[in-house]
Amino acid sequence: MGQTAIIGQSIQIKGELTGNEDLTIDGTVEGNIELKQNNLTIGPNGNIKADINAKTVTITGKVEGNVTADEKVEIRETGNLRGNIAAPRVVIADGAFFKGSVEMEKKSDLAKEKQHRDEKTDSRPELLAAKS
Amino acid sequence: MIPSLYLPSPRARTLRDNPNHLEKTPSPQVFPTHNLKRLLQMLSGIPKPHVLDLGRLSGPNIEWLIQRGFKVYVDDRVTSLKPVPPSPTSPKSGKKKPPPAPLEPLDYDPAFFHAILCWDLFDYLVVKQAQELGADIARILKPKGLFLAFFNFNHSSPPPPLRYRILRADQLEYEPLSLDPIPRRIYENREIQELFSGFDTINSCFLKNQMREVLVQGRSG
Repeated sequence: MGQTAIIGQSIQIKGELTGNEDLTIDGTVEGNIELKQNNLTIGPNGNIKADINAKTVTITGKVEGNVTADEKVEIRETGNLRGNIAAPRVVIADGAFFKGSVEMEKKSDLAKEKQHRDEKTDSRPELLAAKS
Repeated sequence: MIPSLYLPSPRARTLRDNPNHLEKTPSPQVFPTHNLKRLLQMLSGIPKPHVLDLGRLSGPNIEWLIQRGFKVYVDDRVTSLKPVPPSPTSPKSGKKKPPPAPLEPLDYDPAFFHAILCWDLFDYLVVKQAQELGADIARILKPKGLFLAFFNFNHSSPPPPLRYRILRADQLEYEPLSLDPIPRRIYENREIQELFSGFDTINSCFLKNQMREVLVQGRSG
């Protein structure tokens, strides 16, 4: 059985959050969240300003940022998301707040997109060097 | 012309939203839709069309659309409308009501969407707001882009706030909601024509449930 880490209500994090276990966030996170192999839950007190990339993402709190999931994104009734969703499966409850776009991405598409993003990031210093 | 306003009865609530409500509540009803089917057919040749939904958020509708290859943008403009409080002054006092706040503009690039679903959003707007929204929609719709709107014509027993669920391309469920009332306006045919004067009408049909479905298309160039 996998472990689930919890970031409690009084915790505030700024920066990049990565890991190899399931995570529940009930605190505040600003930055980037990468849990590619694991499930992420944003609790009812969670307040996130970050782009999220995880296996599944369940939102019952507040998120501002783009959400990418390999399997599923779910916004429950109390959830609030301002940002774009890319996932093979999306479930949005009536009563939830959502403003953004939804695109159904297959796993292979997401992998390609990620590779493309990584290549762009890798090549950025060279471009800057070329400019200078 | 002073628009007719309708304050839905407080008993217009659904058990699905408010199971403790003891009064009689209308249950969801299923009605045909001609223009949604037509819109979907007209978009069928376009790879991953961009569709903006301005109506009340419906998760199942989003799933339904993305499963059919759409990229769906959600910007629920109905839920953000505030119920209008009763005027503190009597009509005899002669004081004018303050004008309604302008709508927040649709913050999207020009000519971006292949289609826009408005459902019955226009019913909740006053003339000026409706005109602003119509102009904004014309701006963000691609040339030949499509735009679907519903208008209630039932003067005697207008529907409560509704959520529209797509059951099939040609079938919608109208779900009555347990919400504070928002004034609902009943348009004249002439007003609808004026509202869409910058568009070409694909089809405008009057349903047995006294809703008018209007499908219009942006002009090219």
